[in-house]
Amino acid sequence: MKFGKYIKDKLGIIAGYAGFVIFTYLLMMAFHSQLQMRIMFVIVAVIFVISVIAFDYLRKYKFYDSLVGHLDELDQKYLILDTLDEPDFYEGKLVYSAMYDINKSMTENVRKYRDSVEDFKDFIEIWVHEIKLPIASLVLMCHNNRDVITRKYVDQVARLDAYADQVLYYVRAEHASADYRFAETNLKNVIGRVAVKNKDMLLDGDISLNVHDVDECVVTDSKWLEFMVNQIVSNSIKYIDRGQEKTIEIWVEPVGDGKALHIKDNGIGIPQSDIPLVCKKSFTGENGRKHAKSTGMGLYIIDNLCRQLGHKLNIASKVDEYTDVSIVFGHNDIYKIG
Amino acid sequence: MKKIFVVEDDESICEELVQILENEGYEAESLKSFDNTKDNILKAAPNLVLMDINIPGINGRNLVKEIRKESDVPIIMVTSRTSEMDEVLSMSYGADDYITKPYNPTILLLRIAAVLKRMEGSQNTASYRDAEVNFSKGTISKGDQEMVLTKNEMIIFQLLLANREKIVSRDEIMTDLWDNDEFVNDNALTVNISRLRGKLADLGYDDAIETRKKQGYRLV
Repeated sequence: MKFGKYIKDKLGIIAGYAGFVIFTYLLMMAFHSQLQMRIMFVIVAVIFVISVIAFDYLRKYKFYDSLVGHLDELDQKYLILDTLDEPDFYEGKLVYSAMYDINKSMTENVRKYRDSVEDFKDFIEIWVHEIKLPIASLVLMCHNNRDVITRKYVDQVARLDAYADQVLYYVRAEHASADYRFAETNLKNVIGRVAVKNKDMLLDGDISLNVHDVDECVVTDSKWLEFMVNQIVSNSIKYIDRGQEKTIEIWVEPVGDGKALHIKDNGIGIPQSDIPLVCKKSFTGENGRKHAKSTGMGLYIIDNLCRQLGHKLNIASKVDEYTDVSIVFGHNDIYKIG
Repeated sequence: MKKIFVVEDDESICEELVQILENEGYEAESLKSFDNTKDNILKAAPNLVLMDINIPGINGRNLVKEIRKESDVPIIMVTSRTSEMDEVLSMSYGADDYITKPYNPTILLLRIAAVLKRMEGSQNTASYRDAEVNFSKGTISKGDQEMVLTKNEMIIFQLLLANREKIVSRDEIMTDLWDNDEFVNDNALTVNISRLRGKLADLGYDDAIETRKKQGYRLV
């Protein structure tokens, strides 16, 4: 709250006071009062007016200045009310109680939507768990009837499972922090599980998997890491379609005082202009248009998860040569407890 | 014959599981109702219990604890929810192994075989005809003749030996190799098998591994 602007706003009242002083002065002159008395009156009147205005200013200054100042500093501006003392003057009280009501109704409104989103997520989560039962059943049936059921069926069931998983992880990804369980994790085991999961796709696609130097431990949540690695490997399988010797190479190398897990394929690559965008929600880019199988969600979810877990996702690629996706694990001792 | 008890409330899955286990040569039994679950399991006196965490009537964790009070029967937990996997991973359950749904049936069978083998005391050696097989050293020796197998060859030989006289499909061998972090392709598998054949022939076991077209291999 600026004093200059406040005075400008009060110009009308000041002009009124000035008019009153001038009028009284003239009136006193008309009654031939003494000059000293008139000067005395003007001085007293001016001091009086200044103190009245200053008093009023100071009273409001406390409230409005913190209102404007806090509003500037706050990230979540709707929390402003909690940072203010209730003012002791009438206008302030009006503003304060109006803000209180607005805030309350907005909070209720937001809560309503949040609840409905949560309900929806809960439903989806339960639904995914339910859909897993028939999928599990199908997997077993395929196995029991291997003589009549060909690999085609098994592959399609595997796809069903992968997509169901993706929905589950997406629903949980945004509020997953409560669900994290950080522990020393051997990357070899995670990669082993992912490899077995994708074994049939890799063998059928004639893609060789070259895994080396992965016997390394990092601190992470193994279940979410497995999901991320699985997504990256499925992406590689999806976009490796290039005829000649297809390879996915997985290795770990030190970077700085951390470690980077690289998953590199010699597939179609990503155009340079698309690389900064691939982690955006629903971005499918040139490859998505050509291949028409992408949802644009895979890398978005991974990037999101990486940030929440305190890792970093890097993507390097050259069209028609390679795509190298790496997850960088920092030297995060903070997660180690005891 | 080893008896495996299946605790699973989804009828279709339960039925298929029982069939898979029976095809593999196990005796399989499942729960018909979920009253007195613990007593029914113990009464059946199985060699191994395959249990879903989510079963009606009783909490999976409590059930394992109850069973543990009275029996040391190996238990493999089946989870379908990732949140449950966390709990099982922390192994406060007292289960011997866990697997998540939907599982790869071959891996499930490998896990079951592994747990059963562990219970019998891990054998480091076995015999094949008149030869001695040492798994940890990776050797087969006959008299004073010793043949060193590579890791891959040993995994294949071990699987064939465990299923001697039975047909083992290429897919099963492949799954076992991949489960042991050996990510070989079809050609490499063929090469490994022919090398293994060669080494067995050097020991005097010609035609030890039979090829069954479109079915797999059989160790005789």
